[in-house]
Amino acid sequence: MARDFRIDGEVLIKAKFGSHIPPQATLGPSNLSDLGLAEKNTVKIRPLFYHREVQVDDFGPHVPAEVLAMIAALDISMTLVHYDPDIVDIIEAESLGGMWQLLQPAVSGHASAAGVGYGVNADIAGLAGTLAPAGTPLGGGVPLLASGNHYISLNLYSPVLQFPLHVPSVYLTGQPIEIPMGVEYNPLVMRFRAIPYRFPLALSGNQFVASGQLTGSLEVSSSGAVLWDHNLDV
Amino acid sequence: MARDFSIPGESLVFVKGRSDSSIAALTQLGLSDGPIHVRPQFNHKDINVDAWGDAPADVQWMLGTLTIDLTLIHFDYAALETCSALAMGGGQPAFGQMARAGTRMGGGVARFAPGNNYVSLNIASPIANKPWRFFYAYMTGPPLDFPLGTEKSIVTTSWRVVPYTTDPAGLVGGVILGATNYTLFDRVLDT
Repeated sequence: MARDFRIDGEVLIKAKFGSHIPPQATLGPSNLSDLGLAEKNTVKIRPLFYHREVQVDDFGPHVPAEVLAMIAALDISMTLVHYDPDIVDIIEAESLGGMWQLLQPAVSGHASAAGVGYGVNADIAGLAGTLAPAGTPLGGGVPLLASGNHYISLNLYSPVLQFPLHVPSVYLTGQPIEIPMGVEYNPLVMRFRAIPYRFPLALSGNQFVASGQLTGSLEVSSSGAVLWDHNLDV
Repeated sequence: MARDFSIPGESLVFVKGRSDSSIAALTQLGLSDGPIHVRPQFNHKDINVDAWGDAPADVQWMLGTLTIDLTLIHFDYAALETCSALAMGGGQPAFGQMARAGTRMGGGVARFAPGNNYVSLNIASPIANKPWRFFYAYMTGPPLDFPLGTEKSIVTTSWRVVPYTTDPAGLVGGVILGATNYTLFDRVLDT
């Protein structure tokens, strides 16, 4: 790609959820949903690269002999102006551990079945604002987009430049989120954090039990973890 | 078309509004006492690069609006009252009554649907055959001037035309087109 001005175009933002969320629009079997359009110049992607210095006496106290890459996270902020409030409700709930668990309190793990999980929009409207228990893991020990995984897959379209951004494991950080209410149109301030969530790698000899619980030796490895890419969800 | 004087002719103004209004059918608004002024406001944004000093390296087209100044001298008062009511948020039963604060002029619905308070403004051009149709217009106030007295009233009106849309992303078959091929005005009068 040659050097040029970066003009993405109309950056439509879509969100995809774990399969415990039913499709929110007549777009087929996927729950990929329109989140919305942002106000001018408010979609900001800030990579947070972490490094750790390796100090060697021979190099003195101030300059490291080597630097270790300690992976990264993303900070994504936006001010939405034309958006779907139902999808915002789902995002808020998923970022707080999901409402799914409240519908399935007796089920261990996160096994999904036909009809399990959210109902139609009326159910979401009734449960929005209801919290999952403290300590609920967002990944739930299952792969991204699987039932019980509460990370949100965020898709930022780039119709002019054709260089979209896909961030597969995102959650609302909590501040700043501003939900204004009044007679004027209400821009919604949102801030997400993306981490490279990685489903634990099973070593040889391990099994995945039908109830959804993992057994055997597992390894959480950052090697090859995806923080972002340019392949939009479908 | 050869170079010539541009003489539009008797520029009769027509209006058409939402289907539950008194101007649901194409209605004559009236004749102006002088020229009708159509003023496009094209919006552009400079792209500045340090290497290019204070001049822009390129300019981006950022859509546009129009302003139309029209002083009515021979007009349909009822049609004007309806346009005024629509400009005040529409939907209310009596002339002079307002809609609630924050009422959207387009209402998120299609052109001419109940809830869409924009007026389609049509200006005839019988001599030059270059009429104008503005899809989404509303009367601004000011300037809006109703002189009252013994002489004929020449009502000063000003209209704003905006590129109203129900979907700013301009999705067509799942493809984001934005304002591509959006028609702000054309030369085909309403019927």
